[in-house]
Amino acid sequence: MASRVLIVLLAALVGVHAGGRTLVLLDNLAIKESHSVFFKSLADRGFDLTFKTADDSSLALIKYGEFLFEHLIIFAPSVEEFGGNLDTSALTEFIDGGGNILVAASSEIGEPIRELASECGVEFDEEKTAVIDHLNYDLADEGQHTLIVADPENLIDVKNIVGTKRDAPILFRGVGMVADTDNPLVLDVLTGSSTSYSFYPDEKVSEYPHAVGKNTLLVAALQARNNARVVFTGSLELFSDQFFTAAVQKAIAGAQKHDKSGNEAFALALSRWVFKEEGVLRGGVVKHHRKGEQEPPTAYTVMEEVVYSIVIEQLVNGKWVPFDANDVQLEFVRIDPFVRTTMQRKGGKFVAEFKLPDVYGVFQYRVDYNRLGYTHLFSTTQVSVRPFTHTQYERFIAAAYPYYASAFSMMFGLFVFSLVFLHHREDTKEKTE
Amino acid sequence: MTRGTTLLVFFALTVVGQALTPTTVLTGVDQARLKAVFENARPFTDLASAHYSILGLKLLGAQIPNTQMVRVEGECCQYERVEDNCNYVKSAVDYQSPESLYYASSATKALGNCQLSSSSAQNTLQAAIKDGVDVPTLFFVVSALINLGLPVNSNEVVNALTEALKTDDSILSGSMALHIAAQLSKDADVKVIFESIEDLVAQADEVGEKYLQFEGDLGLTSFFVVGAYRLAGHQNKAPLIMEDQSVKFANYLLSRKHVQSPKNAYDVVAGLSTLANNKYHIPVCITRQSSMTVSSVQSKVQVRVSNVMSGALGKLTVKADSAERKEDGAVVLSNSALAANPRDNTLYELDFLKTKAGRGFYTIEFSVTADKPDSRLIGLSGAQVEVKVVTTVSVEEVELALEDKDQSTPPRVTKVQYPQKTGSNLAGDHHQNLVMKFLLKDKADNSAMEAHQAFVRLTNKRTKQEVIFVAEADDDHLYKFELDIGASAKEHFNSLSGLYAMDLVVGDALIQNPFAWNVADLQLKFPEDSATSEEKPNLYQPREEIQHMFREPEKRPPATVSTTFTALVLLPVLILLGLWIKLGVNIANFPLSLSAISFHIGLGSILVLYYLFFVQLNMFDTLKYLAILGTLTFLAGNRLLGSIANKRKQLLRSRLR
Repeated sequence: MASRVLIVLLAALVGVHAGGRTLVLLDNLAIKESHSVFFKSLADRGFDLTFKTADDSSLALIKYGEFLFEHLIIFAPSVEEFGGNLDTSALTEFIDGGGNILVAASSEIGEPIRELASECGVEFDEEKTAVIDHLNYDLADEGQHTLIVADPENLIDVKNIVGTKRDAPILFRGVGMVADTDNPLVLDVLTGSSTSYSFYPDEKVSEYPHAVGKNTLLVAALQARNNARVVFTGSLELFSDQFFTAAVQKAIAGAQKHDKSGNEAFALALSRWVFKEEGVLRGGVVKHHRKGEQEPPTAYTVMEEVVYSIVIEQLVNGKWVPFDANDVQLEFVRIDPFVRTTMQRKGGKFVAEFKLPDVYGVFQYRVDYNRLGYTHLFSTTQVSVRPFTHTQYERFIAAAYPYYASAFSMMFGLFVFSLVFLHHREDTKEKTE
Repeated sequence: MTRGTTLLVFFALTVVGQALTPTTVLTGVDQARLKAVFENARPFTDLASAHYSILGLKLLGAQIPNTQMVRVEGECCQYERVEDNCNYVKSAVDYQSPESLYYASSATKALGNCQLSSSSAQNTLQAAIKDGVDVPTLFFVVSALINLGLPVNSNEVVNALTEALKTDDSILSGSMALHIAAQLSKDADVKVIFESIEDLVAQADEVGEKYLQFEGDLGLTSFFVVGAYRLAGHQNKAPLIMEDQSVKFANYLLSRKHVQSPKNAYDVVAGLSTLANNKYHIPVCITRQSSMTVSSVQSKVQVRVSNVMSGALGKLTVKADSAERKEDGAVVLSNSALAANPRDNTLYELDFLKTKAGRGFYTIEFSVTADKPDSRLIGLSGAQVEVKVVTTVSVEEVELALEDKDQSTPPRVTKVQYPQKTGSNLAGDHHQNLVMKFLLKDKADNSAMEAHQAFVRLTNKRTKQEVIFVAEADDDHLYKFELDIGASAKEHFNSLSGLYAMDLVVGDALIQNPFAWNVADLQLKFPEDSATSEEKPNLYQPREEIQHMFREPEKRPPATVSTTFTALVLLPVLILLGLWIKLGVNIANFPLSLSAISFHIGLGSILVLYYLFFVQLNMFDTLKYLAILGTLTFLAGNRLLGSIANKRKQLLRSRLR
């Protein structure tokens, strides 16, 4: 093929195998057992879990320039300093390298966790503070109204991240966050209610709280531009066996009682998302050609009808299956998009038919599919579009008939005149005679 | 040695024993949950979990389900079969493995009416006791033999055990040795093993002066605790575990009560039942049974005094030694006895509001004395329970005002009564300040108070955007909230004018009736010029479709004009032809020579080629053809003109002649 075809398939670069090597950093090893349901679910789903305490001196994410792990779970809120050669810059490097991180904090939040969060556009409140909600706390609260009953209504409406089953409220006890408003990649997965706020439970509210109302983030997520996913939760207990099995009832008269909290369903859905079991897309074969043909030409001519198709697949339970959506758009771009059209789904492929613009140059077919909860799918294919060759223009224009007629009559005249001029015989004999 | 230990115990009793009691127990709810864990282990997949499930249920005193449905892979298909516990154990046991026999025999012993084939087991087990046997095998063998009711040669076992322990001093082996020793006959010499309890305890790790455990391993910790008290019971001597250590073991086991696997659940239940029922140490647990909140509606503090399994401890006298307010250390109560609950002999009640305690967090310290002295009970004093006394709050003297900044006109003050809303909407613009004053009163004593949360919330009715401000109290607890509408426009409101709902949110850990009260609706008007309603583009939405706008073709003159001119252009040819005919044009001189014919055909072909170039050929093809035709025509033309010139010359010459 003469034309340069450039295909960038970011999704194909992402590690997409179900499961994967996972490092779990804990404050102490008891957390492994107090959160056993969560870890068991991960192990059952094929994750290879390595448990270490967060101050273990042998911690390392990279060895000989390769990442040792694909995923990282930090269930070590109170760690003052990571062991080994793990620090905030190593963690951000891990994210830059495509690693996924699940972080759970608590009111005993340490400095490294806070630093990591602010690198990702999430600001945790100070140590010893807690999210307080005097109007939405659980019956089992221990007096400070910090055992929050988070309404499923406050969950982000993206089923890839929070799952489909969400009727039971979620129990939360821990520290609050706010999102950096300048970072468009941070998602508010779970927010507090409008009466919640984050402050020291034992101290008078003397200054404006770090987070108030719906700005109080209980769970925040970030999908970086390289599709690495990071989730921050303010509550480590959210993942605990105790909260998974606890009953939930708001401590107000007539509140509905739920025998089982929504924590398990939520935590598992969240872990499926953050560890790339949900919402992972990849682009497959890209085909483009003139309408009615099968092969791509070396160059298109302006105003031709073209057909573009791309295979998009989604990872479901470890298998790639055709993706189903009705909002995948194709752009035809030369610096700016000239055409943007929604593609139709036809048997596992997404197909668009359109007429090339009447402008020539080097164009790209571009599929830039970026939706909440899905990895960013970006595919470009470069083609050149040239103007008409001179034979491709309109041959006979009605308005130009006088020109054609004069030219042809001149040619006819030339031919006839040459005949007559060369071979005319004058009848001179009679006169001379 | 013995004296030192006694001293230590004494020390522990007086100092540490003061404040250390378990803070929680395995409640009925917990027991039900663990029971469910044991039951969910069915259908059994392996002998070990069957053994844990059966033993766990027995320890909890629950009914052991007799049968289970088993899914069997048949020759053609899957089918379900009902199988009882005994059959399962019998089918799963491996008579060649001491470990398997240990699990199977423990399970059958717990089931009662189930017999393993003891003769085939006996051969395996007896053969396993030999020189060089390791401690785990010895543990499995001895336990299995005892479970099956088969004879054990105690001295032989003790010798083998002593030998094995020389090479293996792990805590697990040490604990197994305790279990082995506890199952031997009374006359066996196990003094050394009994005394090893002290060394083993010394290896336990203490966490936060509250928990004691081995290597963070629940199974190991529980196994040790059970073994130590089992051997102590067997030897009829108190184990060398200090009372506070026993309580710390209990604390650790209780902290792990939310486990989910049958093995871990069994470990918790086994360890705690041992601590609830042995001859030496029974930690007394005082836990709050009523809710933490004490109010006028619910003024009684109810505590449960029980062992770690929520079991009764006999008749007790429970006293509240003191109750201290956390904020200021005020003591509101001392030395008052609790009333026993007539229905439940583990429950005791204290009417806390009798003390006229004001709102606040209180720590109540309890002590327990048994009516019949019982030396087994430990942790009898220093148990602390936290309660809080809450109150209802009322909001009074609420004033809303809009003041002009330049004080030109007196402010309009609106009084509002909870829980009503101001009748008319207030309208404020950027030249004004919004001021709100209110007083929170404790209904119990009608005094002004402050709340942790006293927020003013403004919600834009259209966009639902919330802006929250903190109201601050002065020294007289009078709350005042002031909002400079103009100054806060950009920072807080994004300069979005419109109707805002104004709510007062009041809440506190000590307030029984937190509320969010819609005080008024505000019409806020911000300066227009600063209106910056730039919406951030949503990254995650489908973008708007773009249709390319094709350039419109230029307008062309009408066809009649061009037809007319075409006719006019063709006219000269017609005129030429007409005149020629009139003049009598001919081509009579046409020589019938090859050159003449080919010259004219060539010329005509060139003209036709030009037409084809115009219609379809490209430049290169045209030049190629033109080269061929041109050469031919040139040569033919040359000869033709030459012959014509010759002819003329001859004609001229003949005339001259």
